[in-house]
Amino acid sequence: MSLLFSMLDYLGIERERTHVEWVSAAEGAKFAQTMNDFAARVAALGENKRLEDLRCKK
Amino acid sequence: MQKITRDELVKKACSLLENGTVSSVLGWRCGEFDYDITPSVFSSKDDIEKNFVWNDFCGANFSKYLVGKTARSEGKILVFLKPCDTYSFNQLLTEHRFDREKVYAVGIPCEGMADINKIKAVCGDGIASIAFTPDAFSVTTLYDDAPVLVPYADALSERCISCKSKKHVAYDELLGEDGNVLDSDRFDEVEKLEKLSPDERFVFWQNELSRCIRCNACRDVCPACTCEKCVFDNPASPVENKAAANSFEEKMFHIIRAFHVAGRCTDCGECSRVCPQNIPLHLLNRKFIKDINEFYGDYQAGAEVGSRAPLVDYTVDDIEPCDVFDGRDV
Repeated sequence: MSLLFSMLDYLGIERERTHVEWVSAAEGAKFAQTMNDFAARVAALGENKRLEDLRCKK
Repeated sequence: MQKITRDELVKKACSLLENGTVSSVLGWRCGEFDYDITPSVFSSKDDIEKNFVWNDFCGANFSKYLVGKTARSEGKILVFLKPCDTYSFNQLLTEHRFDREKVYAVGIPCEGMADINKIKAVCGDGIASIAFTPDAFSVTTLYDDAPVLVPYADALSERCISCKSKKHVAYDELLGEDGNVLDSDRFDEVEKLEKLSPDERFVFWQNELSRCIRCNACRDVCPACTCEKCVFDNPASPVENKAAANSFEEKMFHIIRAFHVAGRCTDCGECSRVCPQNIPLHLLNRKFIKDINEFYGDYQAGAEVGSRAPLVDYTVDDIEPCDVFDGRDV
Protein backbone atom coordinates (compact mmCIF):
# COMPACT_ATOMS: atom_id res chain seq x y z
CA MET A 1 0.00 0.00 0.00
CA SER A 2 2.96 2.27 0.65
CA LEU A 3 4.00 1.74 -2.96
CA LEU A 4 0.51 2.34 -4.28
CA PHE A 5 0.13 5.61 -2.37
CA SER A 6 3.46 6.76 -3.70
CA MET A 7 2.51 5.74 -7.24
CA LEU A 8 -0.81 7.59 -7.14
CA ASP A 9 1.06 10.66 -5.96
CA TYR A 10 3.55 10.17 -8.80
CA LEU A 11 0.67 10.17 -11.28
CA GLY A 12 -0.52 13.47 -9.85
CA ILE A 13 -3.50 12.16 -7.88
CA GLU A 14 -4.14 14.30 -4.80
CA ARG A 15 -2.39 12.62 -1.90
CA GLU A 16 -5.20 13.63 0.48
CA ARG A 17 -7.36 11.01 -1.19
CA THR A 18 -5.35 8.16 0.25
CA HIS A 19 -5.33 7.25 3.90
CA VAL A 20 -4.68 4.28 6.14
CA GLU A 21 -5.47 4.08 9.81
CA TRP A 22 -5.23 1.06 12.08
CA VAL A 23 -8.41 0.74 14.11
CA SER A 24 -9.20 -2.09 16.48
CA ALA A 25 -12.65 -3.65 16.47
CA ALA A 26 -12.94 -2.34 20.03
CA GLU A 27 -12.35 1.28 19.01
CA GLY A 28 -15.77 2.25 17.66
CA ALA A 29 -15.40 5.92 18.44
CA LYS A 30 -12.02 6.11 16.74
CA PHE A 31 -13.43 4.39 13.69
CA ALA A 32 -16.32 6.85 13.44
CA GLN A 33 -13.98 9.79 13.92
CA THR A 34 -11.56 8.49 11.29
CA MET A 35 -14.28 7.90 8.73
CA ASN A 36 -15.92 11.28 9.34
CA ASP A 37 -12.61 13.12 9.09
CA PHE A 38 -11.64 11.32 5.91
CA ALA A 39 -15.06 11.80 4.31
CA ALA A 40 -14.89 15.51 5.10
CA ARG A 41 -11.39 15.75 3.66
CA VAL A 42 -12.35 14.03 0.42
CA ALA A 43 -15.56 16.03 0.11
CA ALA A 44 -13.56 19.24 0.51
CA LEU A 45 -11.36 18.20 -2.42
CA GLY A 46 -14.43 18.14 -4.63
CA GLU A 47 -15.16 15.83 -7.51
CA ASN A 48 -12.47 13.25 -8.20
CA LYS A 49 -11.70 14.35 -11.74
CA ARG A 50 -8.23 12.88 -11.94
CA LEU A 51 -9.17 9.35 -11.11
CA GLU A 52 -12.75 9.52 -12.14
CA ASP A 53 -14.50 6.22 -12.24
CA LEU A 54 -17.41 6.57 -14.59
CA ARG A 55 -18.97 3.47 -13.14
CA CYS A 56 -19.82 5.62 -10.14
CA LYS A 57 -21.83 7.98 -12.31
CA LYS A 58 -24.30 5.44 -13.62
CA MET B 1 27.61 -1.88 -32.99
CA GLN B 2 27.86 -5.33 -31.43
CA LYS B 3 31.36 -6.66 -30.78
CA ILE B 4 30.41 -10.30 -30.89
CA THR B 5 29.63 -11.34 -34.44
CA ARG B 6 26.72 -13.20 -35.92
CA ASP B 7 29.13 -15.87 -37.18
CA GLU B 8 30.26 -16.69 -33.65
CA LEU B 9 26.66 -17.17 -32.52
CA VAL B 10 25.76 -19.23 -35.57
CA LYS B 11 28.83 -21.43 -35.06
CA LYS B 12 27.94 -21.99 -31.40
CA ALA B 13 24.28 -22.74 -32.21
CA CYS B 14 25.15 -25.17 -35.00
CA SER B 15 27.73 -27.06 -32.95
CA LEU B 16 25.37 -27.45 -29.97
CA LEU B 17 22.61 -28.57 -32.30
CA GLU B 18 24.85 -31.06 -34.09
CA ASN B 19 26.34 -32.65 -30.99
CA GLY B 20 22.88 -33.15 -29.59
CA THR B 21 23.20 -30.86 -26.55
CA VAL B 22 20.09 -29.00 -27.66
CA SER B 23 17.25 -29.87 -29.99
CA SER B 24 16.20 -26.33 -30.86
CA VAL B 25 17.55 -22.81 -30.76
CA LEU B 26 15.78 -19.66 -29.69
CA GLY B 27 17.18 -16.84 -31.81
CA TRP B 28 16.39 -13.82 -33.91
CA ARG B 29 15.03 -13.92 -37.43
CA CYS B 30 14.62 -11.12 -39.94
CA GLY B 31 11.15 -9.62 -39.97
CA GLU B 32 9.50 -7.55 -42.64
CA PHE B 33 12.10 -4.79 -42.35
CA ASP B 34 15.79 -4.77 -41.50
CA TYR B 35 15.01 -3.21 -38.14
CA ASP B 36 12.09 -5.49 -37.40
CA ILE B 37 13.86 -8.52 -35.93
CA THR B 38 11.58 -11.23 -34.63
CA PRO B 39 12.21 -13.92 -32.00
CA SER B 40 12.04 -17.35 -33.57
CA VAL B 41 12.76 -21.02 -32.90
CA PHE B 42 15.27 -22.72 -35.19
CA SER B 43 15.59 -26.47 -35.36
CA SER B 44 17.90 -27.08 -38.31
CA LYS B 45 21.45 -26.09 -39.13
CA ASP B 46 20.43 -24.89 -42.58
CA ASP B 47 17.80 -22.60 -41.18
CA ILE B 48 20.23 -21.11 -38.68
CA GLU B 49 22.95 -20.51 -41.25
CA LYS B 50 20.53 -18.92 -43.63
CA ASN B 51 18.18 -16.94 -41.39
CA PHE B 52 19.75 -16.32 -37.98
CA VAL B 53 20.19 -12.61 -37.33
CA TRP B 54 22.31 -10.81 -34.75
CA ASN B 55 22.69 -7.06 -34.86
CA ASP B 56 21.73 -3.87 -33.05
CA PHE B 57 18.04 -4.53 -33.51
CA CYS B 58 17.99 -7.80 -31.56
CA GLY B 59 16.52 -6.15 -28.48
CA ALA B 60 14.01 -8.89 -27.71
CA ASN B 61 14.42 -10.52 -24.31
CA PHE B 62 13.98 -14.29 -24.71
CA SER B 63 13.50 -15.21 -21.06
CA LYS B 64 9.73 -15.19 -21.22
CA TYR B 65 9.66 -17.46 -24.26
CA LEU B 66 11.23 -20.20 -22.15
CA VAL B 67 8.03 -20.53 -20.12
CA GLY B 68 6.05 -21.80 -23.09
CA LYS B 69 8.90 -23.48 -24.94
CA THR B 70 10.16 -25.63 -22.07
CA ALA B 71 6.62 -26.67 -21.14
CA ARG B 72 5.95 -27.98 -24.64
CA SER B 73 9.25 -29.50 -25.73
CA GLU B 74 11.06 -32.67 -24.74
CA GLY B 75 14.61 -31.71 -25.65
CA LYS B 76 16.80 -28.88 -24.48
CA ILE B 77 16.50 -25.44 -25.99
CA LEU B 78 19.43 -23.13 -26.58
CA VAL B 79 18.81 -19.54 -25.61
CA PHE B 80 21.07 -16.53 -26.15
CA LEU B 81 20.92 -14.09 -23.27
CA LYS B 82 22.18 -10.53 -23.16
CA PRO B 83 23.17 -9.29 -19.69
CA CYS B 84 19.82 -7.61 -18.98
CA ASP B 85 17.98 -10.74 -20.16
CA THR B 86 19.76 -12.86 -17.54
CA TYR B 87 18.04 -10.88 -14.76
CA SER B 88 14.63 -11.80 -16.16
CA PHE B 89 15.89 -15.37 -16.55
CA ASN B 90 16.77 -15.55 -12.85
CA GLN B 91 13.53 -13.91 -11.80
CA LEU B 92 11.50 -16.47 -13.73
CA LEU B 93 13.55 -19.27 -12.16
CA THR B 94 12.86 -17.81 -8.73
CA GLU B 95 9.17 -18.00 -9.55
CA HIS B 96 9.52 -21.58 -10.87
CA ARG B 97 8.14 -20.56 -14.23
CA PHE B 98 10.27 -22.82 -16.42
CA ASP B 99 12.35 -25.95 -16.21
CA ARG B 100 16.04 -25.01 -15.92
CA GLU B 101 17.05 -28.54 -16.97
CA LYS B 102 15.55 -28.00 -20.39
CA VAL B 103 17.51 -24.85 -21.10
CA TYR B 104 21.06 -24.31 -22.29
CA ALA B 105 21.81 -20.63 -21.75
CA VAL B 106 24.61 -18.92 -23.63
CA GLY B 107 25.49 -15.47 -22.34
CA ILE B 108 26.44 -12.98 -25.01
CA PRO B 109 27.88 -9.52 -24.47
CA CYS B 110 25.80 -6.55 -25.59
CA GLU B 111 26.95 -3.10 -26.58
CA GLY B 112 23.48 -1.65 -26.37
CA MET B 113 20.58 -1.89 -28.78
CA ALA B 114 19.36 0.70 -31.26
CA ASP B 115 16.05 2.52 -31.12
CA ILE B 116 14.54 2.66 -34.59
CA ASN B 117 12.60 5.79 -33.67
CA LYS B 118 15.84 7.66 -33.14
CA ILE B 119 17.00 6.58 -36.59
CA LYS B 120 13.69 7.59 -38.11
CA ALA B 121 14.01 10.97 -36.42
CA VAL B 122 17.16 11.55 -38.49
CA CYS B 123 16.30 10.05 -41.84
CA GLY B 124 12.52 10.02 -41.83
CA ASP B 125 10.14 7.21 -42.65
CA GLY B 126 10.30 4.83 -45.60
CA ILE B 127 13.42 2.94 -44.59
CA ALA B 128 14.25 0.47 -47.34
CA SER B 129 17.37 -1.09 -45.86
CA ILE B 130 19.93 -0.63 -43.11
CA ALA B 131 23.60 -1.56 -43.47
CA PHE B 132 26.30 -1.51 -40.81
CA THR B 133 29.48 0.53 -41.27
CA PRO B 134 32.21 0.64 -38.57
CA ASP B 135 30.79 3.78 -36.92
CA ALA B 136 27.28 4.26 -38.12
CA PHE B 137 24.11 2.79 -39.55
CA SER B 138 23.92 3.39 -43.27
CA VAL B 139 20.22 3.88 -43.89
CA THR B 140 18.72 3.80 -47.34
CA THR B 141 15.27 5.30 -47.58
CA LEU B 142 12.78 5.37 -50.41
CA TYR B 143 13.09 9.14 -50.65
CA ASP B 144 16.85 9.80 -50.53
CA ASP B 145 19.29 8.93 -53.29
CA ALA B 146 22.31 8.44 -51.05
CA PRO B 147 22.30 6.43 -47.80
CA VAL B 148 22.03 8.50 -44.62
CA LEU B 149 24.64 7.81 -41.94
CA VAL B 150 23.37 7.63 -38.36
CA PRO B 151 26.18 7.19 -35.78
CA TYR B 152 25.62 4.23 -33.45
CA ALA B 153 25.85 6.43 -30.37
CA ASP B 154 23.01 8.65 -31.64
CA ALA B 155 20.68 5.71 -32.15
CA LEU B 156 21.28 3.98 -28.81
CA SER B 157 17.96 3.29 -27.09
CA GLU B 158 17.20 5.06 -23.82
CA ARG B 159 17.19 1.86 -21.79
CA CYS B 160 20.71 1.09 -23.03
CA ILE B 161 22.03 4.59 -22.37
CA SER B 162 21.17 4.02 -18.71
CA CYS B 163 22.22 0.35 -18.81
CA LYS B 164 22.23 -1.10 -15.30
CA SER B 165 24.55 -4.03 -15.89
CA LYS B 166 26.85 -5.60 -18.45
CA LYS B 167 27.30 -8.56 -16.12
CA HIS B 168 25.59 -11.87 -16.83
CA VAL B 169 23.96 -13.23 -13.69
CA ALA B 170 23.02 -16.60 -15.22
CA TYR B 171 24.45 -18.77 -17.99
CA ASP B 172 25.77 -22.22 -18.83
CA GLU B 173 28.39 -20.84 -21.11
CA LEU B 174 29.64 -17.37 -21.89
CA LEU B 175 30.73 -16.09 -25.28
CA GLY B 176 33.06 -13.13 -25.16
CA GLU B 177 33.88 -11.29 -21.97
CA ASP B 178 31.64 -10.60 -19.00
CA GLY B 179 31.15 -7.01 -17.87
CA ASN B 180 30.30 -5.37 -14.57
CA VAL B 181 27.23 -4.04 -12.83
CA LEU B 182 27.13 -0.39 -13.81
CA ASP B 183 26.43 2.67 -11.72
CA SER B 184 23.66 3.89 -13.98
CA ASP B 185 21.62 7.05 -13.77
CA ARG B 186 18.39 5.24 -14.55
CA PHE B 187 16.38 7.00 -11.84
CA ASP B 188 17.18 10.51 -13.06
CA GLU B 189 14.03 10.80 -15.14
CA VAL B 190 11.87 9.56 -12.26
CA GLU B 191 13.46 12.15 -10.00
CA LYS B 192 12.74 14.87 -12.51
CA LEU B 193 9.07 13.91 -12.49
CA GLU B 194 8.98 13.73 -8.71
CA LYS B 195 10.19 17.31 -8.54
CA LEU B 196 7.26 18.57 -10.59
CA SER B 197 4.07 19.70 -8.89
CA PRO B 198 1.19 17.19 -8.69
CA ASP B 199 -0.65 19.20 -11.36
CA GLU B 200 2.29 19.02 -13.73
CA ARG B 201 2.73 15.33 -13.07
CA PHE B 202 -0.93 14.72 -13.77
CA VAL B 203 -0.73 16.58 -17.08
CA PHE B 204 2.42 14.67 -18.02
CA TRP B 205 0.84 11.26 -17.37
CA GLN B 206 -2.48 12.16 -18.89
CA ASN B 207 -0.66 13.21 -22.02
CA GLU B 208 1.28 9.94 -22.13
CA LEU B 209 -1.36 7.44 -21.04
CA SER B 210 -4.17 8.90 -23.13
CA ARG B 211 -2.25 7.72 -26.22
CA CYS B 212 -2.61 4.12 -25.09
CA ILE B 213 -4.55 2.00 -27.58
CA ARG B 214 -4.66 -1.01 -25.22
CA CYS B 215 -2.92 -3.28 -27.71
CA ASN B 216 -1.54 -5.21 -24.71
CA ALA B 217 1.95 -5.36 -26.27
CA CYS B 218 3.50 -4.24 -22.96
CA ARG B 219 1.73 -7.04 -21.18
CA ASP B 220 2.57 -9.66 -23.79
CA VAL B 221 6.28 -8.86 -23.86
CA CYS B 222 6.84 -8.40 -20.12
CA PRO B 223 8.98 -11.24 -18.72
CA ALA B 224 7.57 -10.62 -15.25
CA CYS B 225 4.00 -11.02 -16.50
CA THR B 226 3.61 -14.67 -17.45
CA CYS B 227 0.13 -15.84 -16.43
CA GLU B 228 -1.34 -17.93 -19.21
CA LYS B 229 -4.78 -16.67 -18.32
CA CYS B 230 -5.03 -12.93 -17.81
CA VAL B 231 -7.88 -10.89 -16.39
CA PHE B 232 -7.51 -8.50 -19.30
CA ASP B 233 -8.43 -11.33 -21.69
CA ASN B 234 -11.53 -12.43 -19.85
CA PRO B 235 -14.59 -11.57 -21.96
CA ALA B 236 -16.78 -11.80 -18.87
CA SER B 237 -14.87 -8.97 -17.23
CA PRO B 238 -15.65 -5.42 -18.27
CA VAL B 239 -11.95 -4.81 -18.85
CA GLU B 240 -11.24 -7.23 -21.70
CA ASN B 241 -9.10 -6.09 -24.67
CA LYS B 242 -10.51 -2.72 -25.45
CA ALA B 243 -9.35 0.80 -25.98
CA ALA B 244 -9.77 2.89 -22.87
CA ALA B 245 -13.06 4.72 -22.94
CA ASN B 246 -12.17 7.31 -20.34
CA SER B 247 -9.29 8.63 -18.29
CA PHE B 248 -10.02 6.24 -15.46
CA GLU B 249 -9.62 3.18 -17.65
CA GLU B 250 -6.34 4.44 -19.07
CA LYS B 251 -4.82 4.84 -15.66
CA MET B 252 -6.38 1.75 -14.21
CA PHE B 253 -4.74 -0.55 -16.75
CA HIS B 254 -1.31 0.98 -16.41
CA ILE B 255 -1.34 1.26 -12.64
CA ILE B 256 -2.38 -2.39 -12.39
CA ARG B 257 0.14 -3.49 -14.99
CA ALA B 258 3.04 -1.76 -13.27
CA PHE B 259 1.86 -2.60 -9.77
CA HIS B 260 1.49 -6.33 -10.27
CA VAL B 261 5.10 -6.63 -11.43
CA ALA B 262 6.41 -4.35 -8.68
CA GLY B 263 9.29 -6.04 -6.88
CA ARG B 264 9.63 -8.57 -9.70
CA CYS B 265 10.34 -6.15 -12.54
CA THR B 266 14.03 -6.32 -13.41
CA ASP B 267 13.87 -3.08 -15.41
CA CYS B 268 14.65 -4.75 -18.73
CA GLY B 269 12.75 -2.01 -20.55
CA GLU B 270 10.87 -4.27 -22.96
CA CYS B 271 7.53 -2.56 -22.23
CA SER B 272 8.75 0.78 -23.54
CA ARG B 273 10.54 -0.83 -26.47
CA VAL B 274 7.43 -2.51 -27.84
CA CYS B 275 4.94 0.29 -27.15
CA PRO B 276 3.64 1.41 -30.55
CA GLN B 277 2.61 4.72 -29.02
CA ASN B 278 6.02 5.32 -27.44
CA ILE B 279 4.64 5.71 -23.94
CA PRO B 280 7.56 5.71 -21.44
CA LEU B 281 6.11 2.81 -19.46
CA HIS B 282 9.45 2.08 -17.83
CA LEU B 283 9.02 5.27 -15.81
CA LEU B 284 6.16 3.63 -13.93
CA ASN B 285 8.20 0.51 -13.22
CA ARG B 286 11.28 2.49 -12.27
CA LYS B 287 9.24 4.54 -9.82
CA PHE B 288 8.33 1.31 -8.04
CA ILE B 289 11.94 0.10 -8.10
CA LYS B 290 13.16 3.44 -6.76
CA ASP B 291 10.52 3.43 -4.01
CA ILE B 292 11.36 -0.16 -3.06
CA ASN B 293 15.03 0.82 -2.79
CA GLU B 294 14.13 3.80 -0.60
CA PHE B 295 11.55 2.07 1.58
CA TYR B 296 13.12 -1.35 2.02
CA GLY B 297 16.77 -1.04 1.01
CA ASP B 298 18.44 -1.61 -2.33
CA TYR B 299 17.03 -4.56 -4.19
CA GLN B 300 17.57 -5.76 -7.73
CA ALA B 301 15.05 -8.33 -8.91
CA GLY B 302 16.71 -11.26 -10.67
CA ALA B 303 20.22 -10.54 -9.40
CA GLU B 304 20.16 -13.98 -7.83
CA VAL B 305 17.86 -16.99 -7.91
CA GLY B 306 15.66 -17.47 -4.87
CA SER B 307 16.17 -14.05 -3.31
CA ARG B 308 13.39 -12.97 -1.02
CA ALA B 309 11.81 -9.88 -2.48
CA PRO B 310 11.03 -7.01 -0.07
CA LEU B 311 7.35 -7.08 -0.96
CA VAL B 312 6.91 -10.64 0.25
CA ASP B 313 9.11 -10.25 3.26
CA TYR B 314 7.48 -8.53 6.23
CA THR B 315 9.48 -6.86 8.96
CA VAL B 316 8.15 -4.75 11.83
CA ASP B 317 10.25 -1.84 10.58
CA ASP B 318 8.42 -1.68 7.25
CA ILE B 319 7.25 1.79 6.35
CA GLU B 320 3.61 2.63 7.12
CA PRO B 321 1.53 3.86 4.18
CA CYS B 322 0.71 7.06 6.05
CA ASP B 323 4.43 7.84 6.41
CA VAL B 324 5.14 7.67 2.70
CA PHE B 325 4.83 11.40 2.17
CA ASP B 326 6.83 12.46 5.20
CA GLY B 327 9.74 14.55 4.10
CA ARG B 328 8.45 14.97 0.59
CA ASP B 329 7.71 18.58 -0.14
CA VAL B 330 5.58 18.71 -3.22
